[in-house]
Amino acid sequence: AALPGPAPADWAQAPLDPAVRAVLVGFDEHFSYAKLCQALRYLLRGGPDCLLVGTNRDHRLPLEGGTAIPGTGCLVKAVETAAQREAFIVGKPNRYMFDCVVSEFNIDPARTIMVGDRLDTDILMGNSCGLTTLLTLTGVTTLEEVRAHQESDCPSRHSLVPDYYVDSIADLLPALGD
Amino acid sequence: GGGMASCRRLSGAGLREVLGPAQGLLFDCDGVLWAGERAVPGAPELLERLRRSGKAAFFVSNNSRRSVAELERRFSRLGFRGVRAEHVFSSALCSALFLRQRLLGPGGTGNGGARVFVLGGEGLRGEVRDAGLRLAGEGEPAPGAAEPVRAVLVGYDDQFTFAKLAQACGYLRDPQCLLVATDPDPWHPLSDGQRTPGTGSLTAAVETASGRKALVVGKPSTYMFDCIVERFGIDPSRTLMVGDRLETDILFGKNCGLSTILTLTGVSRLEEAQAYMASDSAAAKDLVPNYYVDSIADLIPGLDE
Repeated sequence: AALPGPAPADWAQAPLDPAVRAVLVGFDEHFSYAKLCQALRYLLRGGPDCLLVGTNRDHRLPLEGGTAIPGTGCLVKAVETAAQREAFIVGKPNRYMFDCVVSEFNIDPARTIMVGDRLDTDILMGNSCGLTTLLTLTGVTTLEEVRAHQESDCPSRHSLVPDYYVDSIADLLPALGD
Repeated sequence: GGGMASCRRLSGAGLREVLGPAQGLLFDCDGVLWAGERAVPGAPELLERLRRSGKAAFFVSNNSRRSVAELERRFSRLGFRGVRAEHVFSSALCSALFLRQRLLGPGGTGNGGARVFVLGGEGLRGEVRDAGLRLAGEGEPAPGAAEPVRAVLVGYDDQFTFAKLAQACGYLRDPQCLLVATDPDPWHPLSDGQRTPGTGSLTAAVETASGRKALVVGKPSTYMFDCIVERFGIDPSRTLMVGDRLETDILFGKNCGLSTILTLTGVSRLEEAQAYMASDSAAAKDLVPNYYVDSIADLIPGLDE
């Protein structure tokens, strides 16, 4: 809908949809202050009856060539800061998505391997959910980073250390039968 | 002052004991002197009485929307007489002074090509220009194409977009590029009781994307007080801080060694101050004001006739 005027004081007069019961923050390359205002209005109107959900907390989305763009986590943080409340995060490293898989497919964590390239999402989720974790080095993480976490005195950093690593998931092929 | 503040109502004899020795008062503006487009009743008279009593009044605002010139016009429009521009310290002005100091050096002339990427409105941009800095344009080519951008300044920006966030992050990949925020305020009240997001929420987005922590110029950081001291040389032990927001104004007063007065015409409620007082956390104690009043008009009886 068009903004009813040039300033936030005008935007705050636009009618709110009475049926809205949740604010969901995902990746939004059209994120704007006006949308942030609207999110805040719904959250204040609904209080605890209006959910605040974020799809994930990734800080950056890497692009080819080594650059990156801001991730969803930035937008979630903006809303959380304005609303002074914490979002429920669906994505890794939170366990909600793993719980979805388990409820549909009845898997046994002790006999399941999590394969990923990010320590603070993939590997952390796998470790938290009791899976065996396998880091592949074709993505954002280097072995040096893993060693640093491994050697750290901080126990929470140890949860970022995978059980195993491979240079690429293609390295798994020889282990699979003909 | 030292020791734990105890949030006492300021009235009667106590009022004269506190105001009598004071040489000057620092006032926050929004929620203290005015709310929206209306002056707090009695506030213009209080400032007039302070002037007649020979006490100095300075204004310290986290609001980075307005230049000092705009604030001066606002004072006048809302019925405050005789407020001098040099007594008004906005986070917009102080952020520009901070950047001038850091980027142009003590003489204010070094590296005249230093550019600043500003996330904010024309009031903020004007203060940065007036400080002798150049602004990086929006939608410019990739970093490195022109003179380097030496700082990203996050202020109140109601035109904030994902694209500007991405552009800011591009500049911040250079570890020499400063990240500065005008203030930490998460939201501001609107006149109908709603709230509008503050600079703090935008800064959180930039910090998350860049992995950097911003240098925050506004209250509760003491930088704006340093600006006042540099210009006027005031004595903190004879100066009172008057504000409406515990987490910024009162903590600012505490950080600067000022006695603090909470006024209840703005953001913070008395119950919040009392909750901080009852808390076990040491950090919470610093948010407790020494005194409170319902409105700054209540200070008038404490001044000589």
